[in-house]
Amino acid sequence: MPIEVTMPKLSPTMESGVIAQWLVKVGDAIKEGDVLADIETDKATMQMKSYEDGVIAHIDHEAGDEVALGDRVMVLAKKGEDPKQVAAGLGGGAKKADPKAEGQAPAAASGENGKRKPAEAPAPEAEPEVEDDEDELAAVGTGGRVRSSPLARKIAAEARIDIARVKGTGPGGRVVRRDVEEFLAGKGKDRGASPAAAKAPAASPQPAAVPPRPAARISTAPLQEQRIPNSRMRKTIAQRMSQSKQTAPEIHVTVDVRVDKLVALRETLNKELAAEKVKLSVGDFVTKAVAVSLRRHPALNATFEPDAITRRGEVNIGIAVALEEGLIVPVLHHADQMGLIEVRKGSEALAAAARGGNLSGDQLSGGTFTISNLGMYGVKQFDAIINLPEVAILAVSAAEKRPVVEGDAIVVGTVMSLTLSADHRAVDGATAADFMRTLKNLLEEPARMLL
Amino acid sequence: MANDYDIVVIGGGPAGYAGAIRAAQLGKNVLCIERDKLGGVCLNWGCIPTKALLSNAHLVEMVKRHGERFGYHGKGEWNFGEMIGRSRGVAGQLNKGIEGLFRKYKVKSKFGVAQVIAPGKVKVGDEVVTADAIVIATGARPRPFPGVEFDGKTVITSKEAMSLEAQPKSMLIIGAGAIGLEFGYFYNAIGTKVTVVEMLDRVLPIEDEEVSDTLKKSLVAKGLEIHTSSKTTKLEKSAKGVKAEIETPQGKKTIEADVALVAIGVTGNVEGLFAPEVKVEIDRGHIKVDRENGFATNVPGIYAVGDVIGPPWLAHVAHHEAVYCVERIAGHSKHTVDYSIIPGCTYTEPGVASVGLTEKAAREAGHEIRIGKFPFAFSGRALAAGESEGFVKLIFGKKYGELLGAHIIGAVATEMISEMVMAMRLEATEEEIVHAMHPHPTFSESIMEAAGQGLGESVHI
Repeated sequence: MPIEVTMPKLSPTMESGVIAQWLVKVGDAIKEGDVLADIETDKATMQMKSYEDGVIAHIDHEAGDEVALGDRVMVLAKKGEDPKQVAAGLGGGAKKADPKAEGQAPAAASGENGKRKPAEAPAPEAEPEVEDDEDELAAVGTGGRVRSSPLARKIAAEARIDIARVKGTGPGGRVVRRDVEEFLAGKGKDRGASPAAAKAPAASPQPAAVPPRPAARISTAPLQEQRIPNSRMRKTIAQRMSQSKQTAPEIHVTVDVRVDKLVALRETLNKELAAEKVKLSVGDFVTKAVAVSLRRHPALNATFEPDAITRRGEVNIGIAVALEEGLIVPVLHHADQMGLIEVRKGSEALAAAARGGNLSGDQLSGGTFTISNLGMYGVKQFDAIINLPEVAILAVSAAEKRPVVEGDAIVVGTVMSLTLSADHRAVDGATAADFMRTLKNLLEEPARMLL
Repeated sequence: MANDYDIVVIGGGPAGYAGAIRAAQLGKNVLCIERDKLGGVCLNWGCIPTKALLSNAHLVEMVKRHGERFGYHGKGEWNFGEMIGRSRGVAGQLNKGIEGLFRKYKVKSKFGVAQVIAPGKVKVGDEVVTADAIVIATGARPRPFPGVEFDGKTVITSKEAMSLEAQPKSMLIIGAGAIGLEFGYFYNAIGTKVTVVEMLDRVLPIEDEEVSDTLKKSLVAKGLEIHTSSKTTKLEKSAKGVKAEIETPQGKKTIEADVALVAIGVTGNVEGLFAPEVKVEIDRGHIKVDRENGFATNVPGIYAVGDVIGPPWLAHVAHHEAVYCVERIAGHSKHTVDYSIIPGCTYTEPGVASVGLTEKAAREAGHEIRIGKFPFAFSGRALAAGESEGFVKLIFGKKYGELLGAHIIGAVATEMISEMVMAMRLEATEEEIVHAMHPHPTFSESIMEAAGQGLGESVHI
């Protein structure tokens, strides 16, 4: 019976390890205690040692791969077994450890003291068999990255389709040119919405509009169940959102803002700015108005700690940006000192840097208040989760035409709902409501921002 | 009753030995039957021994032709027999290597002429062996000039050309493909008067036109006489050696030489391979197979790979075909050979290497293209080596910048092409090539520069 070696728990908190380098290769005979690989854990780079003797028949992952705790990393042929036969018996695919086999095949797991321990994390479920070819394995690797060729990506970008929807037929499920072309011709296999395609909340502010759609096609292919290992970003989101909900008692305050004047002003300004190629969004006005409001309501421009509330000396507004793999909140520093054009350009630059993965440490820190805008999805109203240690977050919904009572008549007006989530440990209801009243006033009569 | 073997491979060349070893790695019980020497033409009478001679020619050329430029003023003297001897030695060494690999992977081998007498049954000598699958990899041999048999002395094939007892004073070469030009380069370099006759309008007719033109000019400058667009109408033995009549664009011409090397192509080794009742389909000397379906012939259980199934007649293609064939037989993979990404090399000096479409073929296929080109004359490394002939020419699709073809002529062209094969295989575009940092100073950075030139970003041109 060959021995399946799985990713050991090398630090108390690790959930996965990145193979920094292999120190052995297929065909090597190894003894108990031999160092197999250097593994980057969430804490440090650790040595992964063997707890068995054998000959390496198969290695599942390359250097650089992130491997979940308990996932198989290699297979050893025991004495008397032919490594080649063992490898051939695996079918060549990088399959997950079979949970049933776990009992007979103790994982080479170790604590920092080097003592042998059984693998603590249960082995994940075996992936559903997808046809008989290793090439059919899903191409979405750890972290939601889609394996694809440069040419396939360029064709997909040109055709404005999400490459994650295209099923890859190249090595390891890589999406190659032919796959994209067949997909575009309607023949390709759609593997359904992938995690990378799923939209995370919020992006740079934009007025309500029909959401851009990928070239949608009705797919009759059966959906495939997929287990997607969490990327580091996903894990961070999960951890921070849970922490916020568990520690901050939230109060939600919603106001409807009539934005007819703002919309008219925006049109006027955009006409003037067309030559400069600047196009202000409704969201930019919101950002600007929030910045002005925060100066007047320092209680909202604050951070909370158990023994003190710090009213911050700067107004730095975090703007949630949706990414393929999750969401990130770059910070527009000193937003209160910016004109609308600077707000627009600053937001754009941050969103571009976020999507390009080029945000600097500065651009990711120092936030004093966050705005999350789902207006472009036509959302009527929602509550956002506070980005601790900040004390409040503003959820911006779509500006849409609604019946409005004017005097005793019902007229058509453009209305936008804004919801503040505030940490009641730091902000009381009246304080929150007062802030929202200021914000509403500024947005309904934008000229007031000049005062 | 179980068969003697899972797979019997007929032929021990680059297709046969590779297929046999791969099958054994996959746990199959394999027999490889070879009528001559393991390694086949490639190793014994082709790729390898010719490269040994060409290294020799390069050395002679460097000393005799370029020595003084490098400050060498001695007199180079060379012994033809020792050159041939070294070449044979290299072949022998590799031949032993394959025997070793067979032992290592427990591939059984028999020496003798094989005949398939029924599906699953192969006769070798007086013995009949049975197998689940038969893989034919018998290769190909030079095609004779119509009406003139090879005699091994005056009308010869490449095999004799690499094992002549004495250096001929003059040599006529019919065919300016890779084989013809490599021998032409070799013999010219060591002092034989070489005349090459090619029916088509340029040397290396399958290569990019610019490459052909550049190579022809270079070889003519070295002393070869090359007649393109010229038909050999008559070839006969004469008192002196051989005499040929050719029709050149300038008129008829008679050429006399000590020997004539006929290098006009090859034909599959299929004679006597199948008993009459085994009706494997053969088309113009080559076995017909389904290349998309594991190289199966029309007879179940019989497969064929390598030169015996037809062009492009290259050892590396044969190798891949054989490996994929047996992997499919073993149920291990369903790989197919991508015939659009096959590198081809000619080991003259300057050498020629290419993969993918030529400029002309790309245009004819309807591609809108962008060309990136970089001459080695601008390469510091090439100048330092004193070998600045040639260029890198890359053909990109205009819209996406995908690499459609790569054509290199230069000192180390044949070592440079693999990067372009990988680029095509991975569907790289010119941006990836430009942004992949190439070390300086090297010949290979000319690839990056060529891609940059295509994008208008090269700083060296």
